[in-house]
Amino acid sequence: MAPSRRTFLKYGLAGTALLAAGGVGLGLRPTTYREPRTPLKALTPRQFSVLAAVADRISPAHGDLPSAWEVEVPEKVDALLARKAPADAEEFGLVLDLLENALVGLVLDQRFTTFTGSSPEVQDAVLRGMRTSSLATRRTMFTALRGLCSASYWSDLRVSQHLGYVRPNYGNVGVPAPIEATPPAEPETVEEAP
Amino acid sequence: MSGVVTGASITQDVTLVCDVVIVGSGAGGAVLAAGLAARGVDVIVLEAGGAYTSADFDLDEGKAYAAMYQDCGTQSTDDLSIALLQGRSLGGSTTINWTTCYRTPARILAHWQKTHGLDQLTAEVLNPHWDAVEERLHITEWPEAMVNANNETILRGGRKLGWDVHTLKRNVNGCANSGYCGVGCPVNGKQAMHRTYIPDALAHGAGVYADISVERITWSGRRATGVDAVVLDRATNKPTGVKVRVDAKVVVSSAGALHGPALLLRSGLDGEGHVGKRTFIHPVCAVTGEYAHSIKPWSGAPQSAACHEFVDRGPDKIGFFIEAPPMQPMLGATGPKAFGTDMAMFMGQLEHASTLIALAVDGIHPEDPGGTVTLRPDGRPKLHYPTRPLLVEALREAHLRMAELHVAAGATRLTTLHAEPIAMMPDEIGRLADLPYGAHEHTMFSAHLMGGCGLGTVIDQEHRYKGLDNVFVVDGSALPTALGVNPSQTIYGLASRAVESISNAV
Repeated sequence: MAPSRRTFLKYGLAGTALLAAGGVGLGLRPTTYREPRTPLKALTPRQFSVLAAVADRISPAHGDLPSAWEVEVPEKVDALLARKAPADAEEFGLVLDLLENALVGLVLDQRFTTFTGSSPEVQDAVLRGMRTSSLATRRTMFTALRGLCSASYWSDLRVSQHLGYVRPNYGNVGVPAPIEATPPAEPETVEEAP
Repeated sequence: MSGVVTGASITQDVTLVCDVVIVGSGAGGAVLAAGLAARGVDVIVLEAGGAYTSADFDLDEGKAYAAMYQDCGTQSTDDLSIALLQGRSLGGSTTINWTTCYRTPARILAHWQKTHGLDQLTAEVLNPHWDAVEERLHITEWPEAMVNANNETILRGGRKLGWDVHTLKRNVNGCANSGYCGVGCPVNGKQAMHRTYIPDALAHGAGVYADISVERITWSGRRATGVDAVVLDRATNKPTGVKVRVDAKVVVSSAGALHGPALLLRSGLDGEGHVGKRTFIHPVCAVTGEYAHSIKPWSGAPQSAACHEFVDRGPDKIGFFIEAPPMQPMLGATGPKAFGTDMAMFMGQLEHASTLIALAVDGIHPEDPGGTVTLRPDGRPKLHYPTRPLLVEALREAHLRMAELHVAAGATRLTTLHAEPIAMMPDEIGRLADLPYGAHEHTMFSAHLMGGCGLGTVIDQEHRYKGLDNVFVVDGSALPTALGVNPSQTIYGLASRAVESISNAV
């Protein structure tokens, strides 16, 4: 029976911690940190930094389009994770921890660096490898990372305005309407014909 | 005149007493609450989501999905291979659905009678309920002149091919044709539950509570005694620590597929092992076509046309029907698995893109048991939904047929949502036959969650849970199979019919 996604993530991290303790230093390579612009609600500073690096490869600056970092995608994803069940936020954090770990990267992606310390080209190759990996858990990780980053990016009007998209404004047409009872219609009285 | 009680106003533990407590305020719970309250039954409705109105609907996708969809819009199967869109606010999925309404097809009712023994669910029995629902919700044919360019693809291409295509009925009145049904109607044109049956229930004295998450049904012997619930803080979506207890003569689960079965399972009610089994989702795949003319797939009634040419492919295959989804930027961006420059180029064509979706009709074939809902360690539902060979065959055929439809409608280029994005010219669609299909091979999603507490299996034809005398299930989870049409009106009709038996149980 294949291990669950959660088991894979936890054992993956635990295994690299053991190897690191045994002198294999790749698992301890430092993260390149980024400073969040709002207080973090769900992620650790390290996880946030990995997320920021991922988001900028999912949605890099392109033509008129801003980068994910420019429209605060990492902070938005962190806020969304804080609204989700704690177990989901924790699992997403594990995904980021595993992605960042250089020893895991060596085994799965033949890279010797952390994700945040890798070049954009290497980062793209890692994400492509996850997308089509023979390991279902890695494809799942890609789905989660891409989905949250991409949704947060394209929902921002600073981005979507460049698609010719204009969100309509109905102003006062959408009259603030508290949900309250509508009185039931009075029964009609029908007079019998003489 | 009373209004909806929100969680913020409940600051200390409270015990409520009523005849019938209904868990959930969507297509099942709202219609049932209004019907029972009109008969003088003392009803309380508990909704886990927030209560929102047009004043809150600012068309911001990022805010709307986080606030009004299950799991902040990220609900999915256990392996994340299929995204599951489901509403979570007052009105349930009706607040954010795309308004498409169909009566249950005759062939489905016949199948239920023959295969599931549901001899009481005939068109003759259900028609009066659907008549009443159609009048209350203003369900009418959407004029073809109002069909947007995205849906017009189906009509134009389908007619050229001689396929069965038609315009749809929608539950709208005063629709602005904005296209934003999925994030809450900004002009109150959609006749969702929070604008219709919930106010009807309130007018007849029902108590309606938002931000209340029911943890379990309490029961002893063959009778339920009520429900235990907690108040949620809408800002954080976490419990405030305040508890709500409802003592009731009758308990109704209207929490929808996935969450309704989970409620029963958390309560120790597994229906002799059947609860959560036979969960169906109309698994969806999609093909996007690029057109020379502007489509603006974010604008205009989101769904107004369909193709039913392949809904019944015979007894040995899974059928599918074809519709078009709205494509506001965020929703559109969730489809492809592309990233970086590829994604920017895909989205750069969005104004000229029409996306078709094929919805597979699961649960009809005898070897298609659908998925299974179980509980996660924290009590939330977990859906395992394998893509079996029968479904894979249907997904392949659906891709081919959607591509044909696009080509007939004049598409200049087609794109699938495969893990490695596939783009092709109209004369290359034969390539589709050789591509892989199924979980993780391409994007899949669903907005039609059905089954898990099926009529005839977990509940009887009066919607009564077979193991207890006073617990009922009235929502999409009651469906014994998928429908081959959008499910909301089937649920409205079943709920209207259930009013009689549940009022008799009080």
